[in-house]
Amino acid sequence: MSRKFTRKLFLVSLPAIAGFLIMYVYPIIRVGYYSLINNTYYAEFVGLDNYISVLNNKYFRLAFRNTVIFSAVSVTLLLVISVIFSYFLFQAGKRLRRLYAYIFIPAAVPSAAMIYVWHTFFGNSVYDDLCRLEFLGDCFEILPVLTLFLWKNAGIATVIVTAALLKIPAETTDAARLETNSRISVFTRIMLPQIRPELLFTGMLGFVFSLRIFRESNLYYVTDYPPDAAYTLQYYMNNHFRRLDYQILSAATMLLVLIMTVVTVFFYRAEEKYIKSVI
Amino acid sequence: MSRKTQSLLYLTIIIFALPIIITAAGSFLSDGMPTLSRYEELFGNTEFLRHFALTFLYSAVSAVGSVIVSIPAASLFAKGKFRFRSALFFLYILAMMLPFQATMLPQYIILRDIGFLNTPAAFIIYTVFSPVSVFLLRQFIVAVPDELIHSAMLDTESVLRIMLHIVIPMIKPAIFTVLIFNFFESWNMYEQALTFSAQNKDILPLSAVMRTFPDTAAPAASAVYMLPAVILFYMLNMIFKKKKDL
Repeated sequence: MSRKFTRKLFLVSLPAIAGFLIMYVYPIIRVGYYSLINNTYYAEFVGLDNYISVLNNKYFRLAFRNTVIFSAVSVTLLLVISVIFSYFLFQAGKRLRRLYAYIFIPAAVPSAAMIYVWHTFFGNSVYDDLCRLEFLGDCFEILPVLTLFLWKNAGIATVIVTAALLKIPAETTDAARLETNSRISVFTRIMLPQIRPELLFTGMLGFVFSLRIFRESNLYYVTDYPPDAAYTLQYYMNNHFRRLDYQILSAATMLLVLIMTVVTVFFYRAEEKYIKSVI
Repeated sequence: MSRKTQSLLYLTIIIFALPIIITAAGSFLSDGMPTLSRYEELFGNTEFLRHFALTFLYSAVSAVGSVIVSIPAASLFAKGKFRFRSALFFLYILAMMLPFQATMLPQYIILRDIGFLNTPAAFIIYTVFSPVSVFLLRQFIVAVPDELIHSAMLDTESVLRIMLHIVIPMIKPAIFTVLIFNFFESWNMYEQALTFSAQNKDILPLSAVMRTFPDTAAPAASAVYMLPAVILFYMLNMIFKKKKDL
């Protein structure tokens, strides 16, 4: 496109870009500054002291560990479930496949409207006893939130994976079928490797969604102090926010921004390579 | 495909539909008897309808506002060539990936400084400038052929006119997707609302006040709250079917 066109386009985009920079980017830079001083009144530079006290805090460590575990488990399960569903859906006829338009509904239905059902399923005394089991108790504490996550997101994941499977040229699988009779081995050895970009994209999407699980978690446990196993980073941030611990909170914020920047660089590189073919 | 796998598929569909069916059925039952008493209580004795209308308003304004604001920026990233383009676009992707844990304090500070805390603007402004809208729309505008834009530029000097007559008609499905996505993002807003309007509970969107309705009315509240999502996807499926029949 010509210089002139770009310049005009830039002018009409200015509100959007200015809004984005003011609302999203600038405040993060400011929080970066807060994370390096002792308080806003004296504003003395303290180096990485705030970061060190965050990293040494046992609740931050617990929250960080739980968040990593939840994301890893939930994204893995999401991928497994969507691949299994897609395997069957791929073989199903067009009519049945169309029914799966409804599978998007859980993603749009407000979690706050579903909590009532989840409380009836999991909020009984038998289930409470399961949560008190040694060793396994933690798993049962988390299970309601995990099932809510999978229920909400399995639809989108399945649709992306199924769409990818349908795009695979038939010749590649036909050739493989001559060599083996097992449908499953054709699926795992020939088809899955071909949809790696879509699986990567689904995994990234699942990861972003898994970090947002606080909404479901907070709605389900109805408290700011959930069971230890469910204490994720958002709870840690909220509790410091309420105590007005701005310096600690700033350092924790910047740590998260740093981690997400690393993840995003990975995603951005992958986007250049793969994702363009997906969306 | 065998009977067995077919019934397995139907079973998973039923399992996924179950929470919605239970919610809908539960709202019409009390002590094992069919009744409308839950709805009477919900609409008669609670603030539900007011919060419902407010939430709808926030969602509609956010969704429409975001599309209007984002189309030019999405075109700029798709078709414009300028220095720092990839650096700026990287910031958009980063902002899109950041969870609320990381943006809570920065967003709170800026909302406080511009006086938006405890006002409806706090629920709307972040969706209006949503990086997700720009990202999604850009992916589609990239596919609009350059030649089309070049030939349109011979006829008009106005970029806005090119957007209106060339770009927008070609990315209608994308606009529709972004509208729906943003609408339901706002419709389900929870932690942002509680953080940014802690002192003004009257304007909170539904998710943040669901807890306050009495247990006897809660199932009805849940049923009405999920209704727009169910209706929309039912309609989408109808449109989809009709198109396939043609």
